[in-house]
Amino acid sequence: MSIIYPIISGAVRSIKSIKGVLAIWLSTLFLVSLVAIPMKSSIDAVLGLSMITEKLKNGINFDVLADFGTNLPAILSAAVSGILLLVLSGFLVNVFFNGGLFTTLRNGEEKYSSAQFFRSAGTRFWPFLLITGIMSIMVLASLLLIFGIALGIAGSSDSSPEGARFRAVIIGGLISVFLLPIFLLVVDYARVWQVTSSKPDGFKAIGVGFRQTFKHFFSSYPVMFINMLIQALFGWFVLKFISGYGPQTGGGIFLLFLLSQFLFILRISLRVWRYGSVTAMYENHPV
Amino acid sequence: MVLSGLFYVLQLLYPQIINPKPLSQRITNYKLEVELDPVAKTVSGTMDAFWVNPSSDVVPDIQLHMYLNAFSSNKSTFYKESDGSPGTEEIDYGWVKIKSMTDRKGNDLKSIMKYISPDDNNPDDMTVLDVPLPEAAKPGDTVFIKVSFVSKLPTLTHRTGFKDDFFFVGQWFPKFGVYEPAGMRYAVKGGWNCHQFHYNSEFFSNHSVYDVKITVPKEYVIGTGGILLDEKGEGEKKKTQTWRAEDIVDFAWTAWPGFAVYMDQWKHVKITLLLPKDRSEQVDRQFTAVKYALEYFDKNVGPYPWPYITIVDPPKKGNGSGGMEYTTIFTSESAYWMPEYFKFPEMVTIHEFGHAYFMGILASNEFEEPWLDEGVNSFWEERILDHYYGPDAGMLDHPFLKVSDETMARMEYVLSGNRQVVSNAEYSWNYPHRTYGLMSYMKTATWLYTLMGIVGEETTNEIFKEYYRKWAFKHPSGRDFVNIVNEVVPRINGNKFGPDMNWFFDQTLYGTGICDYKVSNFFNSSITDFKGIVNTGDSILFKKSGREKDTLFKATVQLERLGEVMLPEEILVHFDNGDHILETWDGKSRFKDFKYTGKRKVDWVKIDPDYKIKMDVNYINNSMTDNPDKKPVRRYANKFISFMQFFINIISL
Ligand SMILES: [Zn+2]
Repeated sequence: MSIIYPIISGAVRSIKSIKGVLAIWLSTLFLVSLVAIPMKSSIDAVLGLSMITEKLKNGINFDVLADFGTNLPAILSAAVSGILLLVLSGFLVNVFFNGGLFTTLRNGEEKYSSAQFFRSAGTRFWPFLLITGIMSIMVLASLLLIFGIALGIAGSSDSSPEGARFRAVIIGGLISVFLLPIFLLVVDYARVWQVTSSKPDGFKAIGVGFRQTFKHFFSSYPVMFINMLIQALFGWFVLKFISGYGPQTGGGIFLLFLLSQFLFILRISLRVWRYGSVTAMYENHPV
Repeated sequence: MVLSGLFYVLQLLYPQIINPKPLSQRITNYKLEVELDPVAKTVSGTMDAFWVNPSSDVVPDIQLHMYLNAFSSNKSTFYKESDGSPGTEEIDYGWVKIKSMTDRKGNDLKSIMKYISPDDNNPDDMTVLDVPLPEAAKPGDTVFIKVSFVSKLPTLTHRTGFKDDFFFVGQWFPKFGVYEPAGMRYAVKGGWNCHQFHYNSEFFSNHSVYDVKITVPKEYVIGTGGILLDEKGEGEKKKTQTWRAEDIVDFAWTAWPGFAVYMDQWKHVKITLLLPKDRSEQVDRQFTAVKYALEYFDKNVGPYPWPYITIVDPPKKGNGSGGMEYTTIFTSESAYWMPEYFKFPEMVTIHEFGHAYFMGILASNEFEEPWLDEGVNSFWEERILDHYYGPDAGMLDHPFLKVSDETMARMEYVLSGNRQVVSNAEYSWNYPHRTYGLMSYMKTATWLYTLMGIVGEETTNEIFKEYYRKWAFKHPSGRDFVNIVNEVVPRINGNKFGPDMNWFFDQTLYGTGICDYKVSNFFNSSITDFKGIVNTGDSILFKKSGREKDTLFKATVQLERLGEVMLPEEILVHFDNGDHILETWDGKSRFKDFKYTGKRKVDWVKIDPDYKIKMDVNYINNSMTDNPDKKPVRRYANKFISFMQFFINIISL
């Protein structure tokens, strides 16, 4: 099978599911704001009517952090617990929406229907949580394993050259980059299978995911790798842009907000494109 | 004088090799012939050394540092102070053993020597040796000793020792303490100043000449604080190098087969860099940093008097020796992967090089006045880093985050809950609540910046130039430094800061208070016309008036001093028509009000607008405005939101 078809078909499907993309965008924005806005207010409260913010114009300034004094630990601990909660709830929300997305991405779904999107999101939640949870753990564990082995081979003894350890990290990174698409194929195939099956069974879905991935490895892997490559380039651009752009005016800051939200919507679409491509590939060789 | 005649003789014994003239008095001198045993981890050999009685006292004994004995047990003062131990195996422990010691006439001194603990009476500490002399030393007498010794190096965790085949050999031979005649460093009477080896301090010695012969296996690369005069093979497997150093306070060396050697030159100074072979991409950084330091010190303090300097960038396994100063040799700290934007290696290099001045040339007593050594040196380290690597980027220079070196020190001081526990003027082991580093490095550097903020950069440089002129190759005390400040500041600034600067040092160096000034409030009230009873003579008239002259305002600015420390402050008052007035306040009273009448309203006020008073522990309350700029925080909130959105999306597979 050509790798062009799933790429194009995935893109078309992702455009059709734009409402689902927007739903993910809005809910994430809402969640993050729940933490970010109180954090911003408490920082504003500490700064009060001070003009010290002039020192923040060119970036985070440690002098100002120092002047937060006893407020600093309080703000930091609130931020840490806020961020933890945020990551957890954000993960769950994404699991929920993915249930809807994978359903609406199927070829049979001629028109996007919000009702079906949310119904499916609800019924697929538990198996999707299982699939995503287990696969996340597998990804984490294999990353640890890869870097652990790489560093182990490089030599943990003091006499091995320092460069070896550095190179080990690079090699570990490279291996991970090539391994990651496999895990993503598994998790995507698993979810595609789950939405076609009437019975929720996360474990079976993962099994199917592995089987599909390796059965159609040479056609699936390039599709996933290309998508990841594009996402990586996109991510690099976003990082450069968001960190490099430091508007000083109110309008500029608002523009930064709009642009970064637009980029985030693009990022979600790229991911949905990936889901769509895998769905298309699955439909070519259903189980 | 007795001394000068004697020195003439001594100079014949020790002809000049490095500099045309001696730089120091050379009260002590050492000739060592030693061999490194890389298996037993020992350095053993002989030492011929002498000490000249520089006082008018008859001195009955000599005292020697035996600092490797700090690693001989967990009960040594060093390990009691650090709550640790040298290690678990016998090989981890370090010691120095005297096999024989005789005087010039061959009298045995070993049998009469004894260990003493002048600092803490610790019976288990063996880092100071007292040797009664068969004949007391009369003023000007030279006491020769001949010592045969073995130094077992400890596993390298703190400064000196070995790790596998890497050796950093510091504090390794019996070394004279400093005999202080009455008056020197304000000593009331003459006596030995010979402190035990402490966790936080180790330097106070006379400037000396060192002639050191070192024998090692052929494959070892050696670096020392001297210059190499000669090398010859010893049979198939060994070589002996002859090294010479002049006018330095300590002689340390390193040996490791894994070193690559690089050379560079700055004016008259030959720079040698020893570092692990696979760290070659760090070479330029190290040379650049040390050349910056040479240039800055040369310009602002005084010339670097030796024609060479040796930098050691130890391998990872030798990190315990990193960041140490032995005047003409010092250790940096780096790593294979150290990114360019992280200026840590530069910081360590510049700091340790700086000790060639503060400790090496200006040989103050690190035990008793660590601030004069570490604090003054940190101040210069911060100035150099922020000068050459960017005012906001001396420590970290990344597009995402920039941090100045000065800010790091101030932050540590400002954020510490222990910043008022004790004054700056303490013996190194007397800082409670683990405040040694905070006080002797961070607080000192912060108040030196404050002093520079008050008297200006040029006056500050002049203070240090004068300090160098007057005290180079001598042993200044903190009071000597204060005296220099008291002499230089009025000479340049007249009576602007009073007849002396004692008020500053009493509060910063000797005091425990904090400095915090605050804008409490400012407000503008409109002035109204007369209203009230008008007595016209025949009748009482009530003038209700009050047609408000809303164009006239009375503006009031209210300031407050929250801390105990009183420092002169500048206050910038800004008005809504664009005018501003720079006020001054001696900062002494608890509060200060400024009042203005006119058509303009005050719209913002800043205390210390140029952030000169770095000691102020809170800059946030230094200013107040009608219209605070919330944009920077909003921008960060935006970026935080985007970052979190992407992060959550990525981890959700
Ligand atoms: Zn230091």
